[in-house]
Amino acid sequence: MDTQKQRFSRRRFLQYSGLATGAALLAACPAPAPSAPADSDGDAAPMQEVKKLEAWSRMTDLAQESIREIIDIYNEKNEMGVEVEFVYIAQTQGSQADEKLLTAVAGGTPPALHYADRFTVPQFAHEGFFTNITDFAQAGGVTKELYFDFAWDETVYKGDIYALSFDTDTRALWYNMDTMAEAGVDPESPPTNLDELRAATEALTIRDSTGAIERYGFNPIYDQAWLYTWGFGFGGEFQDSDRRITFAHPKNIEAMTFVKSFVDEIGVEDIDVMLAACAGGNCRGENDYFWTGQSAMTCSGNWKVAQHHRYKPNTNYGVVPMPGPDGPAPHASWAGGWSWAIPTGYDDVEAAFDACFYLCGPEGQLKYNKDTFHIPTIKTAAEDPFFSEDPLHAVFMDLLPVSHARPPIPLGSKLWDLQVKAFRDEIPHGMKSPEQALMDIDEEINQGLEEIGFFS
Amino acid sequence: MAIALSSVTVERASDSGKLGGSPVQYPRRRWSQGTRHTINGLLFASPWIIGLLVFWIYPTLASAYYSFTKYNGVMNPQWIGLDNYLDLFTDDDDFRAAIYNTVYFAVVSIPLAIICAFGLALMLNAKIRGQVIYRTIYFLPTLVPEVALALVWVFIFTPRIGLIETPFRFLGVRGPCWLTCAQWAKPTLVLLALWIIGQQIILYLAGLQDVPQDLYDAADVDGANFLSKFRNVTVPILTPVIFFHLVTSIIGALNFFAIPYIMTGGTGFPANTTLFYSIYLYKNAFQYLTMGYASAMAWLLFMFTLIVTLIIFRSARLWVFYAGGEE
Repeated sequence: MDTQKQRFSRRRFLQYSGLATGAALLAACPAPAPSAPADSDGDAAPMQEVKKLEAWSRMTDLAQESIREIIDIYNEKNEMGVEVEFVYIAQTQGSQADEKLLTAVAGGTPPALHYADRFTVPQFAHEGFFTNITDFAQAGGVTKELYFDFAWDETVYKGDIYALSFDTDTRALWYNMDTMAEAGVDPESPPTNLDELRAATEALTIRDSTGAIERYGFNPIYDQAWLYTWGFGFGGEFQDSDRRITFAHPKNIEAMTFVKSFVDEIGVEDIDVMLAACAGGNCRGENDYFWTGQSAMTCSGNWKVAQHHRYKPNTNYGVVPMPGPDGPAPHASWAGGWSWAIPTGYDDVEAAFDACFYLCGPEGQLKYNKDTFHIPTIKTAAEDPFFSEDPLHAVFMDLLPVSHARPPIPLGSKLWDLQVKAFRDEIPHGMKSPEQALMDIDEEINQGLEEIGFFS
Repeated sequence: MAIALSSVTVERASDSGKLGGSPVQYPRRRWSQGTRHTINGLLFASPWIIGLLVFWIYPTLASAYYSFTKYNGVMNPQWIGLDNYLDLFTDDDDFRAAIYNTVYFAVVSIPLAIICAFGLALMLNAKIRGQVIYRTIYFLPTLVPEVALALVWVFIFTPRIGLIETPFRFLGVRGPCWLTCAQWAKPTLVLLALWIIGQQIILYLAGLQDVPQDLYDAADVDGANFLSKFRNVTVPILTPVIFFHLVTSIIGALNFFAIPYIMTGGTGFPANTTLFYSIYLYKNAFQYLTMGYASAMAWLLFMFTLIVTLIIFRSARLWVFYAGGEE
C-alpha cells in the first residue's frame, strides 16, 4: 500500500497530468496539410487526401434533394480534387439572419459555401461576412449581361461581387379549383380585383359552430402576401432615385389600409391562429395550409408547381396574377431568389469558388430550377422551353418581365424583419396606423443607411 | 487534506530510504510548506481556473468593452462611448417593451410558482398510498428538455386544433386564443412556466421533512389548529427554501429565453407581447449584428439582477428564519 502511494505521489500525479494535458493539446492541433504528391513513377504513390468543402443551406425537401444531386455531380466531375458536402443548417423563423454562419465566421471556422437569400448579400458583404469574389468571377467570365438586372444587383456591393445568383421566382394567386367548385364559386373565373377577392374569400371560408375558421378562403398576410406584394400591387414604390427607402409611399399606405380592413373583415384572431399554428416552420412543404386544403387560395410563388406535382397531383389548381384595386395586378409580383457566397475567412477561396461557379453556372442552375420549378437568373438558361411547358409555371414566367425586386441595400435583413413586424403584427393588431408603421420603417432604415454612408 | 498530507509524509520517508536511511534530506526549497500547498492547490484547480478565466472572465470583460463600441462580431469595434446605453433608454421602443414583458413575467410567475410548488409539496408530503408515484409524476416534467417541451406545447396550444381545445370543443364554445392574441400570450407563458417546478417541489419537500416534529407537538399542546401550525411553524421553518426559490426564480425569470423563443420564433408576436429581454438581446447580437448594443443590454441586465438580488439578500434578515439560529 505504501509502495502504491509512493508511485502516486502528488508531485508525480501533477507531472503525469501535465504530460497528459500537453499530449492532449498536441493531439488537438490540426495535422499539417498533406503536401502535393511528388511525381512518382512507382506503385507506392501516396494516396491524395480529398479536401472536403462544406456547403451550408437552410433548404429542405425538394430543394435540398436537388442541391444534393447537383453537388454529387460536381463531386464526380470537378478537377480541383475536392468533395463538397451538403450541410443543413436550421433557419431562424421570421428572420433572414443566419446565426450559425455569423458565429462560425466570427469564430474563424466558416464553411466553404453558404446559401444566402440574395437580397441580404449587400448587408452581409457590408458587415464583412462574405468574401469579395470579383477577381475569381471575372476570371470565370461572369458578367452583368449574363444575368437579369435585379439578380445581378443583389449580388454586388460597392461595385464588387460577393455572391453568385442561383435562382429567382415570381408571385401570383394560387387557387384550388376543386374547392371553389364545391363552394359554388366559378373556378374558371378566379378573382381579378380586390372586391372579387374579398367576395371569394368570404364564399370559400368555412367556420365551425363556435365561429372559428375551419377553412380559410384567403389569408391576406400569409405565405407570399407580404407588404411588398400589396404595395407593388397598388402601384407603390419602396426606394426612390436617391436610393432612400420609401415604405411610406402613399400607395403603400393605401395598400396597408386595405390589408388592415381585409384582416378585420376576416377577424384578426382567426388570422393569428393560422400564423401561430405555422410558427416554427410547421407549415412547410406538404403541411402548408394550401396543400392540406385548409386554405382555398394563397399568394405564393412558382416553386409551388413542384410541390403540386409531388403532393397533390390529382387536385386541380389554378394560378392568376394577384388581384389589384383596378383589376389584375401582375406588377404585384416581385422576384426574389437565392445565391451562393463564400463566407469570410474560408482559406481555399479558389476551390470554394470553383464549386460555387458550378452550382450557379448554367448546368447547376438549369438542374436546380427544373427540379424545383424556380427560374434561372442566367437569361439564356431561363429561355429553356421547359419553364413554359407547365401551364401553371407559364403564368409565373409571364410575370417575370413586370416583376419588381426588393431594394438592394446593406440593411436588407433588418428591413425584412421590420416589414414582417409591421405587416404581420403592428398593423393588423392596430398597434400602429399603416402610415405610422411605414414611416417608422423608413426612419430607422434610412437613418441606418445614413450612418454607414450608403448615400454618399 | 489529511490524506494529502499523509501521502507527502510517505513520499518523504520513501525518498529518505533511497538515500540510505539518512535523516530526511530534501533539496532545499525556496518555498515554505504553506506556499507549496497553495501552489499545489492552484495546480490541481488550474483546469477550472483556466476555464473560468478564458471562458468566463475574459468574455465578461470583453463584453463590457464592446458595450461602449459599435461592433458586429467580425469587424474591428469602434469606440462610441455611452451611445449604446443612451440609445437603449431614449430611442428604442422594443427595449421598453422587452423590459415590461420580462418584469410582468417575473412579477406574475414567481409568486405563483412559489405558491404552487409549496402547495404541491404539502400535498405530496401527505402520508398516502402511492406517494412516491405522485412525487415522480410531478417531477417528471422537469426532466424533459425545454426545447422538446416548447415544441409539444406549440401543438397543444394551437387554437382550434390543439389538445387544450378539447374541453372547449366538447362544451361547444371557443377557447381562449392562448399564444395568438395579445391578451393571452403572456398569461399562457406564465401558465407553461408553472409546468416545470418539479425541482422546487423537491426542495420544499425536503424542507417540510426537516420541520421538527416537537414543534408541531408543542403547537398541538397549545391547541393550535392546522392553519395556525402552518402559519407559525411550517412557513417560518421553510423561509430559507422560499428565499432560495425566490432568488433563483428571479434570475431565471429575467433570463427567460428558450421557451418563448421556440414557441414564437422570437418575433415578439403577437403585438410584441412575447418579446422578452433575453430574446431582444439575442436578436440584436445575432440577427441585427449589433453585438455592441447587445453587450450594453447584457450589462444592464446583469446590473439589474445584481441590485434586485442584493435587495432580497438584505431583506432576508427581516423574514428568513433559520432554525439553527444561523444566518
